[in-house]
Amino acid sequence: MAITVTAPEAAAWTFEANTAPRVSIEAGLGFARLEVNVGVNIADTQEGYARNEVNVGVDIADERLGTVRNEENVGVNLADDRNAYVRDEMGDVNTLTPTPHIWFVWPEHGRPGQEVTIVGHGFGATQVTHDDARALLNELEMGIISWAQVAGTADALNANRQIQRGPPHTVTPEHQEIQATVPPNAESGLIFVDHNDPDA
Amino acid sequence: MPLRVSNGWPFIVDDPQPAARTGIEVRVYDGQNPATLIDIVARSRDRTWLDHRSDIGRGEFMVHASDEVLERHPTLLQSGNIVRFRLDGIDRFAFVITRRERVRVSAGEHAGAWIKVSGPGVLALLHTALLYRIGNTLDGGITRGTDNQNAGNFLSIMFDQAQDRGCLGGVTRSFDADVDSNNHPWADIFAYHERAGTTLLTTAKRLAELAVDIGMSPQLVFNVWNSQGVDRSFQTADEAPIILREAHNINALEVAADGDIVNTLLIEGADEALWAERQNATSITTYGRREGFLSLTNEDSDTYITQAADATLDHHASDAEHLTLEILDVDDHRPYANFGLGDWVLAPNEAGQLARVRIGSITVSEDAHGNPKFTVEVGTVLAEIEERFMRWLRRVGDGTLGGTAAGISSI
Repeated sequence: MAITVTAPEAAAWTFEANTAPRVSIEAGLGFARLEVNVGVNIADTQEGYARNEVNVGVDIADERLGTVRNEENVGVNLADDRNAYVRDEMGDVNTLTPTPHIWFVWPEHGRPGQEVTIVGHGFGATQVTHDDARALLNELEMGIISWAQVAGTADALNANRQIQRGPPHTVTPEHQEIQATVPPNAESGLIFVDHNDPDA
Repeated sequence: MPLRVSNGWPFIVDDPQPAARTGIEVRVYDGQNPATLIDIVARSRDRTWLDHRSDIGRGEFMVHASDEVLERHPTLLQSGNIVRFRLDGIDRFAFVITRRERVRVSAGEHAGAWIKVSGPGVLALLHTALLYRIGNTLDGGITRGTDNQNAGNFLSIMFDQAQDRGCLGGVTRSFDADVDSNNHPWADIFAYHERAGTTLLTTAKRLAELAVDIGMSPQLVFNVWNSQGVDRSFQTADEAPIILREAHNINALEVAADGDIVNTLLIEGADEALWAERQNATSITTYGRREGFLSLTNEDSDTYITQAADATLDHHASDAEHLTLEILDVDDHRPYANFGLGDWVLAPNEAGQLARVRIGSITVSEDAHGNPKFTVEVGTVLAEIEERFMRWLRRVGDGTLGGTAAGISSI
């Protein structure tokens, strides 16, 4: 089995399937990653979001944000609640707390004290308390300017992006945005968002 | 209930801004103990360096033969010592002294005997260590590498083994098998093999041609990144985009097209069964068949040979455009302070329109008053891809045509 993917840049690639029943598509350039999993029972979720996506009839205009916008999950049995956010996209069977999932950070560089926006899902609508929710860069806690729920209208978000004059990110679902500052003495690394059960 | 942890998103912390413009300073360090400052050469001139992404670069300066610093330290300029160029209070480039020339200047205030000191950038120190046989002994296997690894895994093992043998004193590394020098997880897994005897520099440069960016800081920290630099072509909440504009901060603009086209490769592998031919049909249609010979006799993986050759040909089908820009020293648009190697900025292309380009090299020299002058070379998105493979092809091509087996460094 082979699947052809037409990328946003109008280049086309053909990818060979992995062993059945799992079919994986990966462009390998870091910005166009797709996975199609049919009839999957996943025991290992160490790669998290990317391994548990069932995408049927997907039309992806921009996969850079990618992991939750185009998911149609059918009969997925997730053993690890780290991937619980996927169930939110199904519109049913949502018994687990959404796991925080960063869709993108903008800008992707800065000096200590400068402001970054973390956009994603499962952060909770508010920070509540310091112990319940925080953003970390390389294990250093980032200063929180705001932590907010954002309604998922594309027009509103696009307008917001234009104000910031950032990259052409488009986010359609409801999501959360965290405005945070780069901590003093920080070094380059990964940004994580930790969050407790928002309903607890 | 325990905190739930999100996925990690890569973020790069920019270098600090220089506090003041204090110009270029030359500081000489002991080659045996690279952290030990011998002295500062206060009265040097013609200080120049070329800082090249994923390449060695070069530095030089001149000092008067009777300067008192040479009386205080007669061995100051001996081969192997390390010269750091400090720009506005921050070390920006370092080179290893390999050459001293006596130059007689007969005119003007600089008349007299001068010593011109020069050498390659400190990345060249990797040339002094080899990939040894497996087990760091003489009786282990001779092929290093595996089919599924990242650059950090391979290079960290080879680097540590070299230090275990006593090589690379004073050099540290900022990456490991899991993360690159920005603490970001490695992006690419690939097949890579080298024969024992190859230098660490050759190995690192070859990996840079295939997958990563490499560099050595003035403090002798060996860096390997998935990709060096950040995108500075966008407005952010705190900073304006970096735009190099004619009539603002560009003094001169030069466009060069590199048309060294090869579209059919005859490849020699480790044995007769691994000889292969790879082609780029589109390029053959456009330019006619242009053959090149590629010797990969140190390579016994047909997977790697195919990957490397196909990648080269895919991106080697047309002219690669490079722009050289002489930059005026304008606030907020200063090389090193506001942008650096590998960064993406906006600059005019051949048609005069602003386009995203990547900084490939920064040359720093100085005018008659000692003020720094900057020249940067940039590549477009397509040229950026092509340049990586152009470097690879040119090097192995030169090695083959010169009768030298690929994998043996020419340095």
